[in-house]
Amino acid sequence: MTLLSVRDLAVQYATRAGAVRAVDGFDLDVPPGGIVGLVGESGCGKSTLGRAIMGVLPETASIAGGSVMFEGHDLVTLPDDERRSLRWRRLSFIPQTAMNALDPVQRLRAQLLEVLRERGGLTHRAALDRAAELFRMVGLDPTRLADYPHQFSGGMRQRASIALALALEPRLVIADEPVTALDVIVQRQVLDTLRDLQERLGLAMILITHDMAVVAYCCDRVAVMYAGRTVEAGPAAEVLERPLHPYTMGLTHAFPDVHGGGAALVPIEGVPPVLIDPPPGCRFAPRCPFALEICRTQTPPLTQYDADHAAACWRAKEAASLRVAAARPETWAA
Amino acid sequence: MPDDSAPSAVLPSPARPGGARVLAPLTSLLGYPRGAPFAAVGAAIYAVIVVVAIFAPQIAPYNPHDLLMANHRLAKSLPVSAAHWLGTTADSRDIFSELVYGTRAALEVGLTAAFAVVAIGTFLGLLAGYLGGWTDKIIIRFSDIVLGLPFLPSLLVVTSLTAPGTLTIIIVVGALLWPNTARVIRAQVLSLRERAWVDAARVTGCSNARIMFVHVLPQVMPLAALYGSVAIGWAILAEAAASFLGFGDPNTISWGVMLQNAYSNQALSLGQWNWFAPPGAAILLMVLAGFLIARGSEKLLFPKLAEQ
Amino acid sequence: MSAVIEATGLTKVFRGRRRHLTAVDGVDLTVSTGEALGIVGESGCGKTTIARMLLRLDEPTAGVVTFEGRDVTTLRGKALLPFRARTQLVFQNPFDALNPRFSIRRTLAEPLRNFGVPRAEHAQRIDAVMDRVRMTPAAAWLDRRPHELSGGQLQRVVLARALIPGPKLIVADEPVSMLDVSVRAGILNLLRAARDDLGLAAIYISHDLALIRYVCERTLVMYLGRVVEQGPTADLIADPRHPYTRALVAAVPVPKVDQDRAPLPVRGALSDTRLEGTGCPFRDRCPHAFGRCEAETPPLRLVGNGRFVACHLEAP
Repeated sequence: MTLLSVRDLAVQYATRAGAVRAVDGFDLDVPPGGIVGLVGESGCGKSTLGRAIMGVLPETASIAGGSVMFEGHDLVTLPDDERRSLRWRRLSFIPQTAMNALDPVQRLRAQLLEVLRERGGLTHRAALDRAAELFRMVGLDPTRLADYPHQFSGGMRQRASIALALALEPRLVIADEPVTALDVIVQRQVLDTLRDLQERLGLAMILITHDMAVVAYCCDRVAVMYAGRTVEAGPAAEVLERPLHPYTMGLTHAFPDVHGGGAALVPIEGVPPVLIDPPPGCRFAPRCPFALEICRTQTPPLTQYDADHAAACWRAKEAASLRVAAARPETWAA
Repeated sequence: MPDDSAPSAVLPSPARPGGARVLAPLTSLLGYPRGAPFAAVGAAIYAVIVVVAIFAPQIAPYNPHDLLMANHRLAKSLPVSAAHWLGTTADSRDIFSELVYGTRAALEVGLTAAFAVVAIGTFLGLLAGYLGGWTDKIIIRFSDIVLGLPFLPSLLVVTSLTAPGTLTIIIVVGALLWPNTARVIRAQVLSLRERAWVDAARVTGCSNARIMFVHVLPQVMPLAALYGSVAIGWAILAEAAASFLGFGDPNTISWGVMLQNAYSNQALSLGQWNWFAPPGAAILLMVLAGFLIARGSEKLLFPKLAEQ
Repeated sequence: MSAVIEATGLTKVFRGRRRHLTAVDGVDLTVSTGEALGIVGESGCGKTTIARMLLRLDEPTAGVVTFEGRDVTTLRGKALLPFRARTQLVFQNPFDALNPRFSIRRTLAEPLRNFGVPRAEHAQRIDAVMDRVRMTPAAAWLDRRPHELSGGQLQRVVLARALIPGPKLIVADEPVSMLDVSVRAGILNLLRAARDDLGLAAIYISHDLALIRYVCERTLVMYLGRVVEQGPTADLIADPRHPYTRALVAAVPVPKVDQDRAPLPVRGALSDTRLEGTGCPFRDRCPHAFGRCEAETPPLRLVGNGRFVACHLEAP
């Protein structure tokens, strides 16, 4: 029984050059209490996706199709006021930079109180207690509730925006690159906090990131996104160790391992396609060393292979042998 | 191995029509935004004035200096008619011809003074912003002092020391109006100085002078050109005010001198709108054009505001 | 192997109106021909300031920089040109490292022009370097402007510009941190190939220890302006001796699901107020701090096999 189920979601932006389909046929399942990582590079649409699910897309963007089933409602067709009432209380969002979540001219206490009282209906007293509790939960000193965001370091600000997101005990939190801008020690501490909270509160999370190592550290499940679509999804261990899609294969070999033996990193040449008029067929085909004729003409659908592990590739059945080739940089230099 | 057989960024750049390609280097140098209606109107007004100035002999029906006759008598203070579209002055000169030829003086003063303001202001702003330290301190103090000097009294003093005329006006305008431009350019240079490509220029062996004039200057040109277009209006206004007060050269044909003549011949109380209104309107138009260009180029000046 | 660049006692103090900030405090380093040195640390550790001082973009408050045997610390203007021709920088942000109004060709010709390469040779050298960074056919790229290129392509141009004057030392400041993951390996491999082919010395600056591991034989670990540990990279990571290095190594996530998730051996986060004066800069976060750590700044001591550690726990 999934908590969140995205099917065939499409989001487009209106630009002067035409409609850009930043998300075009995206699928995702989030089980209750699970951490799902969403991995992709710049331009793949992952941030747009996070905002689309939350319903906080910018004015130039609109949902062009698909469904987002959450607790029995389709968020896409839900009227605005109902969607707004879900926000913060059932579903919340941690943006990439904490300063996008925090008001620089308001004390943190005031910002938490605003959410707790207006959205949560708590009394002033109860809200103050809860605010202190939230700060403790994310590892911040409650006496610092009186501070302004600029008085906090980057890591602390990020924890504050996590506290804000968790204020009303939502069931699902979407975190957009929550640790990208942080130093590695702080990053690890914030990730540990997130994991700890997830365990204690039983909340589900979508962790959007470009970093496979962060996904490996934190997530039970992974969805890999490329050019607006899901290309692979499954349990984290499966996807990272036995990827089915060539893009995932390339990606797993593109991250140096700090303890690693110096195996050569794989460069994936080329750039993602322009999403105004996407080419027919698989979007990864131009960069894929294993592309066949069918890949260029027909778009592979996301298909289940093993239990719970899906991929959108015509050659997924040959994945085992493709993986061997994908580990070698020469394969990609074609 | 090339990234792509056809290089392309992630977002496509819109196709450019053929004519735009020729103009592109020009427009990109001036940085005028295409498709900004305010700026386009302002630019159009300037364009019309320039055309009129160039073809003045063809457009004006008479020589503006000529004393004209009508019915065997001097054609003094004639009203609007087919022969004299705006009538004549009290000196029997054709007003319309004076107006047309006045564009030349306007442009002469406007362009020269604006050029001086922009040149001095950009140069000093560039030096102050990039070099910093004592150079900056001295230039800023100097610009503060100049900013404090009032225009007309200064013009008065200079004219009494030299001679009334367009050249004097141009000199005073140039000498007094540069501080604003200098400050704005300095501010932009201060922020550009922190960019990585400036460090790159240093690391690749560029001297400070080269960085200032070859790397940074082209980036501030759009802003300088903008201030220039506003300065044109200011300079013309200054010339008109000066001429009106009698500091202009009475032998030149300029709108300011026309206004001075009209005033001293009591055109206002005689209700001769055809004499004092047209030059006033012309001055207004020029200043308005400068303002429209500045307003329409706001996207250039404050791109962040547009995003919000 | 001769030393290409040597810095002794490199210090940078930024003076404000009330306080001053010691960004770099007495750092020594040496890089030899063909060697790649990594400088790793978190934000505020001073690694970028070191790079800027080595390249004479910022003036050291104290210390000496020797390049190819000659003291370059106080050179200025024209006297600095030969040094500039032989030391180059690869920038962090490819979108900001190129003058947006210059074509690629013009950007690449600029160093040639400044360093006195005759005009007749420009075209050939530009083609050669474009070939080296795998942007062929060069003609397809040379007339483009930066805004037409992707991040990875821009970074190749930045690398090309750094290589075109034929330097002996390249400093790369976070050369791939702003690039997409799939593109990083390409740039790193180009850097490595250039080093191998041209015998360059390199200094890589990064907060990413995994990256430093991949490209550098030797590493300096910095914390709040001081070197806390130094040595062969693989050894340093396998057996970190300084508590900060230990925390750093433990904190780096690995792209494997099966990894160590034990709590980090470090307290708190980087403090906003730096600890000036004597004493170990890490003392307020170190789980093993004791009396001596407050009283005395630990010197960098040799602990065997090219390894240096600045920690009282390592004292004999």
